[in-house]
Amino acid sequence: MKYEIMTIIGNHLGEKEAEQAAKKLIIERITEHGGTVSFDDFWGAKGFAYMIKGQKWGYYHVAQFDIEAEKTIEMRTELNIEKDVVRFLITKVSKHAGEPKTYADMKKEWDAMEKESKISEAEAAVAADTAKTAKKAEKTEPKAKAADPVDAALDSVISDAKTSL
Amino acid sequence: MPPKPKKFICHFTKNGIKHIDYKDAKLLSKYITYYRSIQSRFHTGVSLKHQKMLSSAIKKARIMGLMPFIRYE
Repeated sequence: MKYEIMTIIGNHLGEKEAEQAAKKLIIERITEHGGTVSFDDFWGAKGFAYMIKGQKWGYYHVAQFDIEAEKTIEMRTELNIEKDVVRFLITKVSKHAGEPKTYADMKKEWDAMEKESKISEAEAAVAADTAKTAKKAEKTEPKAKAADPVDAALDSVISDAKTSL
Repeated sequence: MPPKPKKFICHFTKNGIKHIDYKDAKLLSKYITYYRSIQSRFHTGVSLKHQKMLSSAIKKARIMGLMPFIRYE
């Protein structure tokens, strides 16, 4: 069965130490239990959305591996005891899930998405502006047209020398 | 008569997405409210199949600290 494990390593370690710890705690542990690692990605330091065990940030690590189902239970009990591991999550990999992405690739996608949304927003703003100006022009034009015949009539009356006030 | 709800097109069915990844917090953050609770299907137009995937993905992301449970401040 294919599984994915995401771990948070505490921030009392340095970046290099944390990477080494991830290899030692997770990758070596999987191979010890007779599993094979197919994907391995160290995200680096990242802030949490809320405080976890009194900490505001930690090091993230993601790995995918093939192992027997019973062995994951053993891994869980072992990882719960480890002091460097703040939190971890073992999930099944869905058969519909594509190839795993690294964090750098995901970041690139997010940046592209932001750019697209900004461009579309700008386009929408320009379209709205043009629509507004068109509406204004429409509003002003008919008034002028409506006023025209009355003005013309008044002008003719005023300009007429025979009519005296 | 109450006004009819606005018709939406599901983003996931439109693009043929069969699996929602819990690590993609940027995508998931579109489907939560101002107070960071999961937004209902009524307001986003997500299909039932994908709403179930979405909610489980958001819950996993919350456990791992990628997304908030509630809005602080």
